[in-house]
Amino acid sequence: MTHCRSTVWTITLAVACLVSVLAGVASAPAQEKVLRVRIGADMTGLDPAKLFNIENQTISNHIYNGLVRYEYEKSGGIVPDLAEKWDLSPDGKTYTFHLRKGVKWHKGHGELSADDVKFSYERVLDPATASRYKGEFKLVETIEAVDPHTVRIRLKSKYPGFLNKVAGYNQGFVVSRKAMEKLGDQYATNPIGTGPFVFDSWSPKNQVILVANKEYFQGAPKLDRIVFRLIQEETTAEIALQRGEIDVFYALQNAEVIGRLAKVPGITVHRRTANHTINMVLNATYEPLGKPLVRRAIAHAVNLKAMRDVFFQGLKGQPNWVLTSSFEESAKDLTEWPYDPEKAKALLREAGYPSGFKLTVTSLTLQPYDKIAVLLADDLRKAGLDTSVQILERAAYLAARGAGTPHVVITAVTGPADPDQPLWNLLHSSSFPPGLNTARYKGIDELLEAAQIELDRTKRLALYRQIQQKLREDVPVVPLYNDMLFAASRAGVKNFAPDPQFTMNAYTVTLEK
Amino acid sequence: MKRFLLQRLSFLVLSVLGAFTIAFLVMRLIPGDPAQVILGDYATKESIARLRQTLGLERPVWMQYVSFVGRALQGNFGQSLVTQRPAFHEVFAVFTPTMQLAAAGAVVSMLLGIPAGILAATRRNRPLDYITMTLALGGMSMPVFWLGLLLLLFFSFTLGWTPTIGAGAEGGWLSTLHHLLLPALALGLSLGAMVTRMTRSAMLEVIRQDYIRTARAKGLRETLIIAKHALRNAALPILTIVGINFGIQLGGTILVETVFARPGMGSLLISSIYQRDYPQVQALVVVFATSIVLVNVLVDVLYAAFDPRVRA
Repeated sequence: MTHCRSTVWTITLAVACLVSVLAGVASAPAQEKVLRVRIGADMTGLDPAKLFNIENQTISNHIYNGLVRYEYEKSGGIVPDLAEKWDLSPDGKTYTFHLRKGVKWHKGHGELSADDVKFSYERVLDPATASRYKGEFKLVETIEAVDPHTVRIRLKSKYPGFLNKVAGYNQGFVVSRKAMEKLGDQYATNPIGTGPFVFDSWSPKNQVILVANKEYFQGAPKLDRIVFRLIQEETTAEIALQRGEIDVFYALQNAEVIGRLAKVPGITVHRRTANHTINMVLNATYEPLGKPLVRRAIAHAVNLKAMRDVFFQGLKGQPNWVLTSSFEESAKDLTEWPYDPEKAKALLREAGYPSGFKLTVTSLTLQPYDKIAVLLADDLRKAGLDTSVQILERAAYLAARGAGTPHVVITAVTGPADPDQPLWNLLHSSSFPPGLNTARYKGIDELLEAAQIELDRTKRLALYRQIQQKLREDVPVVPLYNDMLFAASRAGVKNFAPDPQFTMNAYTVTLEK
Repeated sequence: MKRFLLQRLSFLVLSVLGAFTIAFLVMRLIPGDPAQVILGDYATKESIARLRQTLGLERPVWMQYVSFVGRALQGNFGQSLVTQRPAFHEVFAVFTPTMQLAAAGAVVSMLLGIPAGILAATRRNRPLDYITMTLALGGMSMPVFWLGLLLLLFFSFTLGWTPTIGAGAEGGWLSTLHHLLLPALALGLSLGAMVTRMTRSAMLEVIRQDYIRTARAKGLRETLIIAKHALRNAALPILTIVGINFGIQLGGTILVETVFARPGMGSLLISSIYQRDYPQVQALVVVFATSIVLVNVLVDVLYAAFDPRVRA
């Protein structure tokens, strides 16, 4: 027995030694300034014409530039990037961009020229590219490389929001013609840009590594490398952040994790309103929903305040008729319809549906969209509507939404700082099919078209106010909540801030470890 | 032995083809179109049709099947629809960590389960037996995802002994081992419970046999009787359960990989299914099926090593 006990001790000691040796190996000091960022989904491809998912967009932010960019570190206004300056013709239809000289493409692909810009944007318009963002350039008539450093873009009509389309975001990113012609399909996983970081490697389901571009035209970044680490489970990322295995916890969503991290000394939780709303889109081709009174009844039937305050624990904002508070054009006084189930019932009676009707709420198998559909259905049932819930996995959801048949679809809409994009995409009659306007709403077409080409700031603001008023009356969609982007960082990470496009850029970040 | 191996290998080809065919058909039966998923909400009918053409999805399903099998036989599994890289290349980028995890899980389950099972069997109906069996029941009922998080909280967060995330491949083999400790424990504990129960019942069966009584009568030491005479004869059912477990283990790696943020085939499979990345799913199913069948062939070969009757 004594022999047995001493054997157990020896084994325990040996294991303890091994573990401590291994722990030493793992915590070998790093000489380089490496920022380790958690991402919640893997990279899939970084071709700007097809860029999708906040992870791909975030990585791309570091690699590419647009002609202009949003100065998120300050007011968020549009400032020069690849274009040093630009002129607008008196008729408001021709933009001439003067490119910065001496901008180098990554990995020895030569110097940026006007031809690259022309190539990049024409590529988005080319049906053969099958770009997701062809519609973003719908007003572009011609793109001309006047000389190696001048690009002239002629629009079909004046469009004051146009700079948003060539800003560093999705289709606005400029790619290298030479590299694209050489790499073809493989460009998406071997991207060549002009940005502060150069794409180094992607190890699928593991990590993406970017290295500093020492020749970056705005000056070399303060970091040597960025490692985007895929960590799907938020609790795991929470532990990793506290243990110093990651520096930035990007796209934090779980309310409990946010609550816990906010209390940890040395950890900063960042919160930013995103240009992103989650909406209940009411399909007017489904007979009862064709009546404005019924749609108003639905708006009164759902307890959105409870959803935001209790279910989301106050971590989501009020959506303000699709334009979130991050838009200057947001009419904050036009509040949502208050929760009033009795009023909802009365409105249904008035509309000729005293005993309600059958309704299906379609949503996605993705947190929290699956859960909120259940909350909404419960509220709608209390108002006397025979509501069921249909939760579809993403591809099936896209197919159903594309067919335009679901009664009510939970639809998220996002975009850059230009209000035209989310409103147009969600509610202009040209946005279905294909598109998000499964409400088949036509009520603000003229207002949207007028606002889109209005150069006068005050008049434009007034038009967007009118649009929001109209939406409040017609209720083609019920905006449910406005997403907030949360991120957390360790004490040594300075100048870090997420942006309202749900992405981040670590160019300005410094590390003090 | 040669015939035996040949037989098993032809069985391998049939099983893999079967698994592949099912995956191929099921992927095409579920709603959702890869072209729509790739192009998003604003895809027009024309662009979807064009992409479907490029991806070869316009052809009848049987034609796609024949052409895929034909190319697969030449070692070409096509390109991932999402990344445009060879589907097989994507699988092998994550193959090693998954196999390391599954193998380490199997080792842990045996290291824990076999001694625990022997202990329970030799102390049948005594407190130690009850304790072991209760623990085993607990281990079997515990969701591996939850167990993983508990292990992380205790060993990684509270004690700081182990890393939280990744497979540690960039730090050499020591780092790989270090990163493997907790995931292997999470996987091994739940499967170890099954091994414990199997070992116990197999040992109980053997211990009652006449030759054990003879060995005792000869005055052999108890440890020798258990290790040499009893365990060897109880090995077959234990081996069987370890072999069967391997399939379950590959499934379990999906959850363990998520908790420990390890690269692996599990998470690749799930995201490929979501994106309707047909070639990627097909390549993964082929690799999964081949691994499971190969391990079972190995188990059969080991049977023969342990039991001369099988060889005959």
